[in-house]
Amino acid sequence: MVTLKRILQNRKGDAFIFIIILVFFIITLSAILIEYFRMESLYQQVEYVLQRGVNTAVEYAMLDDYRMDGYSRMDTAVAEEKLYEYLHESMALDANLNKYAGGEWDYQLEIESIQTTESPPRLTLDGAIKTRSVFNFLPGDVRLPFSISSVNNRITEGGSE
Amino acid sequence: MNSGHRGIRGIFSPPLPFQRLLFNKKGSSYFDLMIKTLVVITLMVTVVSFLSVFTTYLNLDHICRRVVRVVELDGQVSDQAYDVFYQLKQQTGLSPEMTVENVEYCEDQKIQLRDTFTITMTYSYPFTVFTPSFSPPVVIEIPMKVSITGMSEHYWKLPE
Repeated sequence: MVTLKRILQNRKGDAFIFIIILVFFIITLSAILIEYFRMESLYQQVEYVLQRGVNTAVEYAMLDDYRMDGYSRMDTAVAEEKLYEYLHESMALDANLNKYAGGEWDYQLEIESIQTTESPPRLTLDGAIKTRSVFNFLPGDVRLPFSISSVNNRITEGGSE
Repeated sequence: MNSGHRGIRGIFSPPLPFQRLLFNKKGSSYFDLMIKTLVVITLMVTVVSFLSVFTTYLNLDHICRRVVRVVELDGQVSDQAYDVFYQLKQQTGLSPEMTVENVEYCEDQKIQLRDTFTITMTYSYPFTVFTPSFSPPVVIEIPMKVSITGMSEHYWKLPE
């Protein structure tokens, strides 16, 4: 007890302790910032790729016969089918929508809902990107929610002009 | 004047007042500060001049990204893509070369839905090291290359 008290009251080497605490804070802050920007970058990339997938699904499922009459309609079943095809073939996600990069698990796509409307031709994809963080020992997996929508109002015949 | 009185090094030593001035330590920190300031300013100017290299690379990346997006939306390497390219060239003052690679055209310059393509932009940035008044500037050519892969978002209904 006396020894502990003496150690606590001893002022020798306090600058060294102070530097260690300062370095610890700087390193922790840097790690948090780097991790935040990594997450942000991942989210932006996945969102961009998903937006492209939703756009292509709507584009493919457009019913051109209606366009000739000035209506804009979409085959909703085909749109959903094409979206899943895109997720598996172009984004290279497995059956459970997991993404592996270089053999390592990168993220998982959790689809909550796919809402499609025939007219106006619209597809809305709601879900979240589930990924791991270097700080995942604190909150567990990180979920980044997204809502991506695409609508096609073009009534001129496309693709063959 | 008797040169034999010029210090312990004899006739080759500097005159006495000058020698005294050299060994005088008064005001040395003032000179020290002046030299340090000069060094810092030179370093800052060097860093700032290097920034232009990064700015140019970012501009090149921006041009490439914009052109890729236009091709993605159009589903072809159209006049619109070249218009955007020339417009951005004018805006940024760069003159890169553009090539479309890894592409499979379904008809003319058309890229089918979900087919990928790569647009590469190359540019040689002339970095001026210094400009002497008596000769042309000393320039280092820094090669830059940006490649971005895109995917067509246009569905081409082709005749069977």
